[in-house]
Amino acid sequence: MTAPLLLPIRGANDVLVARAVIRGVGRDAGLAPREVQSLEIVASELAWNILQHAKNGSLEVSTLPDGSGIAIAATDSGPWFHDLAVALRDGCDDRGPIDPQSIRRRRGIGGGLGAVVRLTHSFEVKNLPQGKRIEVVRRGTNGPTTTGKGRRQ
Amino acid sequence: MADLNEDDLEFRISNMLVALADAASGNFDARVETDLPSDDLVGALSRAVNEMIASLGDAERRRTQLRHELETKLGTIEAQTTAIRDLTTPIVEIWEGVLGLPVVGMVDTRRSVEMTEALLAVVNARRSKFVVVDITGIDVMDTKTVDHFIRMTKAVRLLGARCVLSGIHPDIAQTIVHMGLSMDELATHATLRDALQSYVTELEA
Repeated sequence: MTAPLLLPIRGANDVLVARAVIRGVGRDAGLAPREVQSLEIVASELAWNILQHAKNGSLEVSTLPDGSGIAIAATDSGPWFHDLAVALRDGCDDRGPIDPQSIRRRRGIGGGLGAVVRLTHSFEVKNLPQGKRIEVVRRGTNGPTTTGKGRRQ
Repeated sequence: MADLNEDDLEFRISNMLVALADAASGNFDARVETDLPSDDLVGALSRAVNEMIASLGDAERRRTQLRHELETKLGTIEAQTTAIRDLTTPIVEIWEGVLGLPVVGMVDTRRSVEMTEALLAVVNARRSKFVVVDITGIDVMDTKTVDHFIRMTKAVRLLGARCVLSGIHPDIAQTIVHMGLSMDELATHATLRDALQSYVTELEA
């Protein structure tokens, strides 16, 4: 595995930068454009979640040793998931359904984490003494290739 | 130490206190005037007070300047962020009452929320009648985002405009069908051109 690239996430600009970097890593790894776009969405959702729930954190991006895909790890010092199963449900945060009235304010629809799961091939949450780490892998080919046909919770 | 009488000494000390009080309240222009030589203790003290006030003034000016520079930089970053966001979601009035929203790059949940908000505001402000959301540049969308997009088209309809999608990628088309949406709920066209053509035809009819 190549040394992971560490991308600090402290503000909206960092999300844009992280997305651009991941786009580059994906292309360099020889992934198809749609795979790269999926990775970009995954990175973007993870990064916005860091900003929304933990203020700051980082993304680590690396190419798998066999070159078959990309791994992203999102680390932040925010609280653990109150209930991961609920957080993964669309339209929910980690405590339950979010109020539609709050969508504008939070600029979220409670679907980011669900999207991350659907657009990746492995998804793991590790609780740290202070904070948490979400590790995902998206492989290049022969996986669930279309949106909505990937794994559902 | 020069031979000062008590009144004179008191006068000089109160001058210094006034200057220090000015400095404490942010006025660094005050200086203590003294005719005493430097080897006089009171004279030396007066000059030391002046020097201290002068360097406090310099430090304050420098701090203000740095803060100003920092604020300018933060402002620039803020402006760039907004610019990037606007660039990624341009809403163009193609014709009177007709809006086009060409979506390029990538759509995540947050962007779908921002687009909805921006589009509804423009439709409302311009009293638009027809909106084409062109997603030719989008290969991948998560189901939840597609769902939010479709809600956006419905919200536009509530404002009294028609909203159609064009340039749907085959994979996204599959997603929409898998979501069990009936096509009655969603007007679609193969290309932006087709969408506009349909509106023009309708107007002529």
